[in-house]
Amino acid sequence: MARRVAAGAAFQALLWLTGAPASGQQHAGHMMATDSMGAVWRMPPQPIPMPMMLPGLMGAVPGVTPYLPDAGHDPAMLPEAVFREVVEMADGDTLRLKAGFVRRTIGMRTFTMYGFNGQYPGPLIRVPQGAEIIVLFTNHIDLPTAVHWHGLRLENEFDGVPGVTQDPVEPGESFMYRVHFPDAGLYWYHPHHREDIQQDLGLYGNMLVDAPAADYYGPANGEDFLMLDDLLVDEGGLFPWGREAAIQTLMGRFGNQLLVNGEPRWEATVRRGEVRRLYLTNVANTRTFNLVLEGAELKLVGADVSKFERESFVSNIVLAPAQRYIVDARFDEPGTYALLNPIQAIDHFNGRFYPQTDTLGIVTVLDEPVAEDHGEAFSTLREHADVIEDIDRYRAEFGRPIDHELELTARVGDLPSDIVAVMAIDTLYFPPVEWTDAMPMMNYLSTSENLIWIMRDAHTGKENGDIDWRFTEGAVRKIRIHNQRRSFHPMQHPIHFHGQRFLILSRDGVPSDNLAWKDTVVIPVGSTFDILLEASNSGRWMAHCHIAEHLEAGMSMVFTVDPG
Amino acid sequence: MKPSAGAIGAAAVLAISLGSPVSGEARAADPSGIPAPEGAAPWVVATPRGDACLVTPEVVRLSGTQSAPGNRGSMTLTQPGSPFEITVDDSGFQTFDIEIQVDRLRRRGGAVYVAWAAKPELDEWMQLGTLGEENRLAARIAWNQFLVFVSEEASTDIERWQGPIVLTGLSPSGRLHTMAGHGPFEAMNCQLYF
Ligand SMILES: [Cu+2]
Repeated sequence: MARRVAAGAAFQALLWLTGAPASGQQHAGHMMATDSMGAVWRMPPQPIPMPMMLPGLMGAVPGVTPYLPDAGHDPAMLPEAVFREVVEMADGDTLRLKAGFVRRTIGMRTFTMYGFNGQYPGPLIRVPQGAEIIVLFTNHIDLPTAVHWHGLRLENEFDGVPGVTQDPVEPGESFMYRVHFPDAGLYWYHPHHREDIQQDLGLYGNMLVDAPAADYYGPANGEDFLMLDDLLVDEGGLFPWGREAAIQTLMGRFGNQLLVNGEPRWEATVRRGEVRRLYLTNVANTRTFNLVLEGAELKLVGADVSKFERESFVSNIVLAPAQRYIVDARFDEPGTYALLNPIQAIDHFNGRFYPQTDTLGIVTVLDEPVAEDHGEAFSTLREHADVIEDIDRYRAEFGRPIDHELELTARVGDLPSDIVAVMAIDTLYFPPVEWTDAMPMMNYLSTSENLIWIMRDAHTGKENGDIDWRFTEGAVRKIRIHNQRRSFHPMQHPIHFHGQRFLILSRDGVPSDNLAWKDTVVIPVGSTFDILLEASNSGRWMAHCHIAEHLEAGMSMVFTVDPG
Repeated sequence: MKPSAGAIGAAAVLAISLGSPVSGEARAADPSGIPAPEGAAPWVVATPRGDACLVTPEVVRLSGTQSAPGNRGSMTLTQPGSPFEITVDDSGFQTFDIEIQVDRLRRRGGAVYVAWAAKPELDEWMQLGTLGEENRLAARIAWNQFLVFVSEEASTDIERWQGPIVLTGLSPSGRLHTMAGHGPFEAMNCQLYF
């Protein structure tokens, strides 16, 4: 009998964890956690309606103050953000970059957000390979910040990581970055200080580094830069963030409004037969995208830090946070082509998956042939001899023993015990990837103070900031990363190594057959990846999970590359 | 996954019904204690692959059915190669390479053993192939949640199973139902799989 009662309570708790009604059962008395600027905690939006919640936890709010940017001020007084400019820069040029408040209109709604130079996304910096530019950065937002130049093998002191390479740039203060671009490809910049808030509010921009060779990529008729993001909004506007500490640290903050370049819908018009080069960057806090461009042929060309050894045709593109892909798309027939994000979401209540497809954009193909038809080149899959030759220098190391081993896991602090009890038995199945927030209430109550995400050195047992790997510049090291299935609540983790590049040698023991240099590898739940890290750039660098809330909840380490 | 207190009874029953592991191609006594149907061959026992119980969530048990209670096997799921670290199709379904290994099967003379996968709603199914002499079969599937089962047939030239089901199992995500009020596989005894 006792077991039956306990099971009933656990079942109710599960229902509560998986979701709660947006209205009708809220106790206003519990909902008064308000910050001085007027931000108020309320129930997070639910992806699917759920029937009940656990009575003892009704009205519970995160144990931190809600934060909204410049809350209480009239967004009408702020400048409306403008679409990003392309800033073409040469070696030695200087860019002034300002993080500040902007007014954003998304759909029909107006929000107070952040922007670099009043733009959304931030300016697209385009430079020739090998260039070095100066960025004079000024902080005009209300939080300390810094700018990280993601994927670049630049000088360590300009990597923009407060606590590791610099002090945070306080509001009103400035910092000079010298930014070097040694590798051709697609990169991005974003804050590395409370990026769960700052990046989410619009502080991100692309960088494109052009190789000297005109035929570095195959021919294309045009280019599009797509920064993929999401934003969490409800009837009250932007859903608050945690002021003293991040909230939603369990799953990361999933938005319910998907965005391409800060807009709900990307639109493009092309001619029949056109080949468009798509530069894709995932800038979301936690969401992994599965992109499909309905009806168009897609050719995968490049990843984070290099092209692939060989081009390949793909039907969909899976991008975890911080990852980039360069994809050529060809439009053969006139009509409209939707850019979709089809995923299989989990319904914990019914124990099943359900399909969810968001439309991110529309490409209109005119019935007017393109002037220069690259169809033949498009249908030919190129082999990239430059990439293969570069990687050839490392192949002898592919079989080396594992030098370091990381386990990815989590530990619970003082989460409400009812939740911990239920979560403790929720270990029967975890999907390899969480595509949506299947447990919004549970996620809402988790903060970086009651949940710790862990990178553990399997050889020493050291965790996160206690890990002290040292390499000598020029060293090549094999690192095994295993995402533990048996943890409190496992989830995929996009692991980013700063200032270096690596190859994904294998996953779950199966060797990769088409390599590209990367800076971020996403490890699905239960999987084991072996990567070959080239420690090519001296300094003290961070490695971390690029789910912004997991980073805030501890999932980072520092490694040192000593000059060779 | 260690069985919880409530599962111990079921696990114990399972252990008894399976008997102790037997290695090598051998003819064993009927481990279930149930008399063989008329005309049935003795049990064929293949080399077990490690723990017959769930080893990791990528290896799931295939169990006998009421009409074939002693049969058993396993299904191993791996991610096929992909340029991306996550292998899903253009509908977002996880893609798996599955390998079925039947460790113990009572073969009936002249019968073929056809493996199937079906979605939980049973509105879609596919033939995975026929068990070979080694009692093995490999296939690729792009569904997140599915039943796998083997039917005993007179011919492989069938669009749907016709003979008795002799082995069944669930995709790893079948375990979702134990936390969610028995959804898609409510007729199944979930404890059988852990
Ligand atoms: Cu993570």
